[in-house]
Amino acid sequence: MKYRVSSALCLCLATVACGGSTASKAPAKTTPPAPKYSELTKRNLASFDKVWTTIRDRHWDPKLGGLDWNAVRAELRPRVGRAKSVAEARVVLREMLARLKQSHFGILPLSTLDAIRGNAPKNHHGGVGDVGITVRYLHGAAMVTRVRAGSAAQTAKVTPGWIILAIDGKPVAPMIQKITAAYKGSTMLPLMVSRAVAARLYGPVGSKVKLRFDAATAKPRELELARDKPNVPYASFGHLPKMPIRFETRRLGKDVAYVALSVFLDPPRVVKGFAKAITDMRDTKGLILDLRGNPGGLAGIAIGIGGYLQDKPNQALGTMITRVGKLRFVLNPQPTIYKGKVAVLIDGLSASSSEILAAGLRDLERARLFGRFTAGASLPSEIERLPNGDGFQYAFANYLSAAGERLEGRGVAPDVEIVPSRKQLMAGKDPVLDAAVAWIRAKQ
Amino acid sequence: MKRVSLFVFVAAVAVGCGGAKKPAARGPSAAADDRIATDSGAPSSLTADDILALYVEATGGRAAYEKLSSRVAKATMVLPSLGVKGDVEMYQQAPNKSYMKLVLGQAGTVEQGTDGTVVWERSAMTGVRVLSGQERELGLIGAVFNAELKYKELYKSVQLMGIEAVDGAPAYKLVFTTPSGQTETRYYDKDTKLLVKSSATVQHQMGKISSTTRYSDYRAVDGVRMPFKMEVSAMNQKRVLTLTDVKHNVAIPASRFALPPDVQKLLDK
Repeated sequence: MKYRVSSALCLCLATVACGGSTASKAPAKTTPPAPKYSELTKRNLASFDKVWTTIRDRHWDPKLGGLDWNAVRAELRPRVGRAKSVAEARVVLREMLARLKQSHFGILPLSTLDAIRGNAPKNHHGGVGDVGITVRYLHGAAMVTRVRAGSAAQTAKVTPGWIILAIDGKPVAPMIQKITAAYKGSTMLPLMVSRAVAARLYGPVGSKVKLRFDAATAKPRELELARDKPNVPYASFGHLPKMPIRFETRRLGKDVAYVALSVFLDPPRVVKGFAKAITDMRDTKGLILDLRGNPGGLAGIAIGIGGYLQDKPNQALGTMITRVGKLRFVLNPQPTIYKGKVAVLIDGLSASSSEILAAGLRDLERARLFGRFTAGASLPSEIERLPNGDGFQYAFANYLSAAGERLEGRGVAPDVEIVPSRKQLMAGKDPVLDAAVAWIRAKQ
Repeated sequence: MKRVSLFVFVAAVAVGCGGAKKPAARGPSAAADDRIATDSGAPSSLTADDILALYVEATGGRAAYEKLSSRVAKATMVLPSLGVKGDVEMYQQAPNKSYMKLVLGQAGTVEQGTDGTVVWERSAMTGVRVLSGQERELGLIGAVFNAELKYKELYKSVQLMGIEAVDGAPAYKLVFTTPSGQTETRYYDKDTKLLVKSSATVQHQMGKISSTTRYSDYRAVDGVRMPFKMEVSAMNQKRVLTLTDVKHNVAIPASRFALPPDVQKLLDK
């Protein structure tokens, strides 16, 4: 008897490119005790070796683009040995990573790690609640962009466009400054800031959090909001945490189909639901696929969705490259294909499978992208704590879109870039969605 | 004997054995760190045919195989690195029909099957597809019941490449080549004659995929011994398939192997 396991399985296995993909390996909450000089040197050198070895053994390109990695070690390791502080060693480690000329490789101070993690739950199930607001890093601030219906925030009349100034009495600005410094110039900056703020809003269901908002009024608004649990289905896969899934399908008027997906999980519901949606709304002029804030998940779902949007054989969204090989994300045209225009909405929190799907559909000339640059975190990266306390962030796979564009560390550029203004948000507008609708309704 | 093989990613590697149409090669095998000198291995009198005959004998004998005409098996599949466990059902009917269903928790269901002509796959994630080319070839070979007895019909050649150590024990190394030229390397323990390892690189829809499978925990079911545990390594990940129930000569409804409507729709397109 023969038993095969399909490509579908493999995809989900090989690319559980999950949720935002920065899996932090529980950095310590406190700074390690100040070591003696010799101990410091030992820790710094061990950190150097850890970084150097990880790149050597796990980077997707074993040749490192022709870089003589042994020479880099010979040159820089002695400098780490002479470093008189963790900060001095960090400078050298960063210089080493800079030789790769690739983003998504970084050394983060311990304080930045703490700033990023906040109260982020390991798991969303059970008692984890939030206050019902979606936050984006916009115009240099932590801005509310959405308020969940029925949440404490809605009851308190929090509106999009408000800026979070402090959480439980702690100003948000210093945290943003730290993360901004660490991710300056990185496509991941909006993702990291938004997540850091969101992490502080989590807490046990029923607990309360004090928030100070800039509500565009004379004085900041102080609110104490109770955390509750979103009334949506949750899903998980393996070690991934359970996450709430917002999967919404509806018509915008008679002629536009709208599908929003908050995370690529629960394929039986999501892919089947997508198939039903495009079947029910096949008479529409166009489809809007809203992937804003979607951190990724099972890449197989991106392939599944893509299979309903194009009917040419052997078309791939792109190629994942790891040390052990390449995998083409080939779409399987399904019996029912949606023929109308396709607009994909993206933003700085669209990561992983969201980027893979958006870039792939655009490269296959099947979709037009609206919104903001994506996170450039197409595949899992890790943040690992080094012996000297710093964090080491690295990606162990690369991803090339159908057109051969590298997504990792670069992100996906929208065809129509739109950054919502505070005024628009406060007026209840969604200019990204509006632009997509207008494009679909346009004759050309 | 029946061998249950797990192919991850691919319609990989054929089950059963290969037709030794060519003389057994006795030259050096592919490089392997644990290789034993070829000359110290297979006695000159042994050929690939001999080894495969010994394998059939060791797993129950031709007569035992020929008493079987269908099989229904259940298994669990664990992916330790992902923390995922799935349940597998497998159906096979002589001469060449098969159906497999894997329920993988919240990732949904994956099905594969063939009616002996069309090889298809359907998953909750990636949708439905009909396999073609080399993938189809492997799917059809894999569905052949009692393939162990039919390797000469299924393969272009089987070559004995020598003896190599598998986990420290010497094993005959045989290379099976399909009509289209795809190869699989299998290792049969020199003492027990049981299949202990296989490896292959196959061209899949997604690209070339290499995998290695280890077979262990052989148990007899209706007179035929089969490995109840298979560990597959591919793409730096391991999957462990463990059989939990095997029944033979079960009446399987023909509808089990019929093409699903959406597969038929694809074919009609």
